[in-house]
Amino acid sequence: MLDIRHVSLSFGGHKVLNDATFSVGKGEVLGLIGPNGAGKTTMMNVITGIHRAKSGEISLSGEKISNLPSHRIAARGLRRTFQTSLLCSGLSVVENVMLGLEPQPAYGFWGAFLGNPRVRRWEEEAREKSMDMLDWMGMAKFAERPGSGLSFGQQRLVEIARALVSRPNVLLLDEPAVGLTAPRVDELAEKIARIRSEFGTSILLIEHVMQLVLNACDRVVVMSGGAVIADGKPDVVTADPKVVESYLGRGYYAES
Amino acid sequence: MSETKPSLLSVVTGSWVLPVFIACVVAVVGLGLNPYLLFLLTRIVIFVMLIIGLNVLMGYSGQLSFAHAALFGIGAYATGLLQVHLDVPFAIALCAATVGVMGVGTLMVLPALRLSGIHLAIATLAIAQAVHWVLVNWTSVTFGAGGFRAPAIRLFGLDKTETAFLVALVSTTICYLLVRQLLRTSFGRRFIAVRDNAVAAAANGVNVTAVKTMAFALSAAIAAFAGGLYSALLGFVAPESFNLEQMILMKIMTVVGGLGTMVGAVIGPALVIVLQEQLRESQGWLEIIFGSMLIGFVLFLPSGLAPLLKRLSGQSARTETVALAPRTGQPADRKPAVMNAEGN
Amino acid sequence: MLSVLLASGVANGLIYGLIALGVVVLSKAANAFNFSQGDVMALGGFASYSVIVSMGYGPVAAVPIVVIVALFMGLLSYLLLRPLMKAEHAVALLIATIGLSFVIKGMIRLVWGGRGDYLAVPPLISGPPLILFDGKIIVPLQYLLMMGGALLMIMLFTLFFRFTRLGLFMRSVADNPRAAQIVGIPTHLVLCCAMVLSLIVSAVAGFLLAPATLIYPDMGFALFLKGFAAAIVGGVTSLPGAVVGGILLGVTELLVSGYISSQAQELSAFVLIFVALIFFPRGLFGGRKSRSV
Repeated sequence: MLDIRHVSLSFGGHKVLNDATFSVGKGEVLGLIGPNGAGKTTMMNVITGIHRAKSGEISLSGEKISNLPSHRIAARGLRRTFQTSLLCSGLSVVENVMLGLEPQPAYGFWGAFLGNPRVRRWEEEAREKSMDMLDWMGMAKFAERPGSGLSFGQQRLVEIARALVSRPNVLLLDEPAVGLTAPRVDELAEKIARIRSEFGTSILLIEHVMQLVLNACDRVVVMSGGAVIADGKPDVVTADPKVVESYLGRGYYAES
Repeated sequence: MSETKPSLLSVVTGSWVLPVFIACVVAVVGLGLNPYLLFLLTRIVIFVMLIIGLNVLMGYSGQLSFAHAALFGIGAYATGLLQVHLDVPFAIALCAATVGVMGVGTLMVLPALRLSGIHLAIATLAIAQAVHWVLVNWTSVTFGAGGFRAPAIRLFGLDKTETAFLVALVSTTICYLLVRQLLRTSFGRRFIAVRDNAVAAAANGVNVTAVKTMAFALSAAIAAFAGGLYSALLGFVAPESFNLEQMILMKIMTVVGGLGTMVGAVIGPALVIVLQEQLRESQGWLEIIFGSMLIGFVLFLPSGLAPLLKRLSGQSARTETVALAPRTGQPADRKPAVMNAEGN
Repeated sequence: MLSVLLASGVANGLIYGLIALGVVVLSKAANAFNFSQGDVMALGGFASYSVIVSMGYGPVAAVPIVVIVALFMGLLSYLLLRPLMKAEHAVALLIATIGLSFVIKGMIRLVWGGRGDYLAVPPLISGPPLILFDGKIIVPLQYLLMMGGALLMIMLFTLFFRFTRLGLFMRSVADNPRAAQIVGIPTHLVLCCAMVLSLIVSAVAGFLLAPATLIYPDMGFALFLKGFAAAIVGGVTSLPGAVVGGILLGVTELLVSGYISSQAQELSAFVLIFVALIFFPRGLFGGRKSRSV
């Protein structure tokens, strides 16, 4: 579904991504882990078009998306959440989710001005779809609150709803479990499983919270220093000495 | 914040009934006023239209522009000059000016639209000063610093001011309704998304530059139309009505009324123009008071008066409003990677 | 004559550079722009008028008065603008400083006279102009003083930023306010100093400039724009850039005025700003920090 091939990127002489290569298969949940500074968020930013890779290629469903601007990539069915989820404070929660339906509307500028029936109908349908999505996330009761009027964890769930409402092919989640308590993390893992089973979405998950990675992911890719150093099933990868070394530094494995 | 309950008040204000009703009341009251007060009222009405446009750009889309006084001015000049030089009838001149200014204004700003926040603001400032310079110096066309007389329009036997008043009132009401409707659709959401968090907006499929362009073009068209009306009201067009000081007054109107609210676009100009009248004698005091207002509102009441009034009347301040002080979207524009330590 | 144009261009340019210096000082130290800077500059000019003309003291007495006025304005501005001096409120800060500009302009108008009144401050130095190269270059002494004063301030500031602790603090605070706070730098004090310093520079520039032109209450903003243009062209966080930008602007203006038309002169600042913003938003000497576009 999503193929990253030999992607490299430097920021001011410092090589941030180094020949990274991995794939997310259809309906697969892939975890992307690695120590701080490994390049995980940069990788995500490159995939979603915020940065342009110096070399390498990224394709979605076989079509190249490497040099497209962010909004075009999103239109092709790849959506993401952000580490600091910032919902639009000027929009209500449900309107935020409706934003996730972009760039869709079935009406043009002039129709919007005049408010003709087609516009109204589309808006009603969009609102319904968004409310359904919020309901699915368990956030329906907050629908009319302003986007900034929720707690951080709640905002994150709404953000995921926003990313899902257009039924994307691929969903990128940037550290969704940060700050969540253990039972909430399990809930999140469950939701991720449901996303995969009910919507068939492929998911790429950046995460530090191992509990989520081990529960939710089919496969795990480990990055360190901008390069991919391991790729396989969670329990295998986490026991890989190279991986342990990248997190804990040389010498640890030897000691234990 | 409380959840919106569909009260009778909100239903009535939501539909087109209330604005039209208010317009009719204003029409009746206005026609009964003496010419000078009517002139003032018409000025207010025209500026309401102008500020609606500016609000679309500044309040809803979060883009700071200094160019709008200039666009207002070009609209006035174009409408007037088309009539004077080429004998084009008023209505056609007005439409041509609107379309022309919208096009030219957008083209001028296009290279700058990639910039955001301060840089865009400064670029529009440069454009505005350049336009003012052209208006003053291209004397063969624009008649220079002294300005020129624009032909007046008269309808149905009413006099110049009354005609301008009615035309302006009708146009402004229509503009208000159209823009309000637009903002309720996905276009409105896009504007606000670009304002609040441009990176997230792009990640959701919103073409940020296209949205900024549209916001700019729309507000430019509205400014130009208002300018054309202004030329008819004054009967006279001169560069000093469209300089930086006027631009700042417009900003004050927008901020005082309420950035990002439709009602604010009505309150702001009314308040400021009335105050301006009272302080006409003392330019110094006018500047001090307006300057202090600007500072005060930015510091303490960044969402302006409109949400305050709404809250007093029992409605929740709807999602139209800006929740915080006007943002550039600076942290939002900044890509997440820059906010983190490099590499992650 | 080219040389005369160049010489005046450089002299003007140094003054623009001085204004630009004020812009850069604040930008470097607080990452902010203060649109009332031009009006403080005007205030400096008017204050020196009062001291020299109304009260009859010599120009030397005017200097400390101008500095004190600027100090006061700086403190006042800082107190007013403090809540807005954070990155996310950049636009709000801009609007607020515009408001402040209005207030200062209004005050000047109330204190020193009506609209459009032009006041003249006598030259600070009297004497024959400096004649170089057998009359090819004639530099009035006042201009020499302007240039000298400007150069002096520029040198002082460069040394300040590079070698003093406060200068170092300012640079750190501008780079990363939170980190600076964690490390123990008194951020608020630093920002306050930045504001005060930038206004002192502006006021002194006004003092230096006033004798060379007629002063009037509206002069501030127009001059500020030119200094701002110079700062942007040179790179808004670069001190040498401010000077280079200023000279570039001054010379361009005079050349345009000489070879194209004197009216086109005013236009050059704006064209320069626009071109600079589009093509080098980071300026000639660009900052290390890239503003994301």
